[in-house]
Amino acid sequence: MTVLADLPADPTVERRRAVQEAAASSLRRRKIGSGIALGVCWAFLAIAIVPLVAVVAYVVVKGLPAWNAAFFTQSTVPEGIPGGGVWNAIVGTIVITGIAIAVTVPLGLVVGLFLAESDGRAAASLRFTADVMTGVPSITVGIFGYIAIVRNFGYSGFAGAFAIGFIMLPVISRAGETAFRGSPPHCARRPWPSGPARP
Amino acid sequence: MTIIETPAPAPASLPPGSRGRFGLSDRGFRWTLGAAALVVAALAAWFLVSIVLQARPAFSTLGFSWIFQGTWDPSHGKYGLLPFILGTLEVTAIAVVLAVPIGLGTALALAYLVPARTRAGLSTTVELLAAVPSVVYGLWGLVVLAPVFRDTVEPFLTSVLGWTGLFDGPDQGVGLLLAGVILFVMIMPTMVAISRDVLAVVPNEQLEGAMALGATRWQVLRKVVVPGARTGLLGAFTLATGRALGETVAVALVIGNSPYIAHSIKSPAATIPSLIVNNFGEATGTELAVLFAAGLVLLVIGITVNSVARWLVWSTAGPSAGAAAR
Repeated sequence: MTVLADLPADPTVERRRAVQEAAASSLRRRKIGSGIALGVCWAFLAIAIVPLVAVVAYVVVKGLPAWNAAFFTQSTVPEGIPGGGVWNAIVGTIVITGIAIAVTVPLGLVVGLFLAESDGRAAASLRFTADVMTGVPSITVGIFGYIAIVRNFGYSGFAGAFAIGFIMLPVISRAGETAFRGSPPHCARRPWPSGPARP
Repeated sequence: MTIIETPAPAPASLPPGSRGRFGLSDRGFRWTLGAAALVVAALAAWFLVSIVLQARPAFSTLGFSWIFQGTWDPSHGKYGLLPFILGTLEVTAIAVVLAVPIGLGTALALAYLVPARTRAGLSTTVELLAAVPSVVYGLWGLVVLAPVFRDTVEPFLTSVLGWTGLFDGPDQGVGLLLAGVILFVMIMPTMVAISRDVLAVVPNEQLEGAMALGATRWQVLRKVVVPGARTGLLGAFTLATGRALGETVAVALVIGNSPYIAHSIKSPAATIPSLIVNNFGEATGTELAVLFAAGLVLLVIGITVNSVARWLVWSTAGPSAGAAAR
């Protein structure tokens, strides 16, 4: 605006030059700003990547030397006694996660299908319930597992699987819903005469 | 992914008279679906009811004022929950304040700045890091980062920002600051992975339109890409905040577990999850009920944050608010 205010006497050429200069300086200014902002983005990328890589590198460097046959094949021994391994923990992880997957994946996918196939109030409230369940802090799920299973049946791998399954179920349901909604109706209806073999 | 907008109901391109893709005849199948849905609803109700029932003794014997009292001393019957509520909120705030700008910048860089050849590799790396168990982050924080914080970071921050009064007290390594930073590192992969996905799907035509008007790359990112993806970004930030609120093991390892209200950002403190995990083993009677009630308080905080975020998504996604926003 200031450029237009004090235009030189000769209109056309001078005016065009003034406008071009103003545009060029605006572009220069914006390019510098853009460069700074993009540089900040790059710096943030570095800030984000460095600790993450550091964590993994540290665990690998410190942990890899401890890997040997006994580590994977023997059970943990009491503190102070040399030797032993984590075979029991590996089996425990696999069993607990396996039970949780075996129950929640089929159940969650069926729920996802229900959510994808229904638009009513029931589906909407269930969708909301699943979303809230996803946001539940895991420690409260642990408390729930303690109250529901441990108090009645004692500590067990099943109690762990129950708690993990509770965390998994809403995630699988909602992800399943998204996936089922993605399938076009004509594909979904084709196997209709033979039942829901291929949803 | 929870808060990211629900896809619109399936288009009703069905012959008149049928109720859904599978029609009326497949009643058994619909019953199966309904039964599975009922299982989820029943689980949710069971969850809520059992925690409320188990927490009730705490409220019936102590009332409600203990929630906002500041002294935690179970051996003398004092169960003030305030230090833990504050600790939870403070640690989460530190993590989110760091994670929001850095996560957004990282996601923008990953989606638009990194050369295409390295993009896939970097993105996969970030996604893999989301699968690192939180206890690994906690251990790393305790073993590696805590000494660095005690000897370098905290003295430096105190010398630069000491005048604010936030950095009073001795440099201990473990404490609010370290816990917040560890949480930040931990929630970063989730946040970046989701943010990058929603940033990358902003239509190319909009980007090209802005460029054709002479916008610089940053102007395109700030005025087209970020506003276009704001609903999904809010979802990513909420999910990350929820994780930070409920994180237990990583925080319990690095926060110092002190049941007092922190007077400085360097002080040891405790969060509700760390309180529960540290005391659950020995607690009996009233203390156990108090821990259940603390879990209930955490649940209320979590659901409140979640609801506020959903409301934000809903209000910014609305046409009127969307137009007024920028």
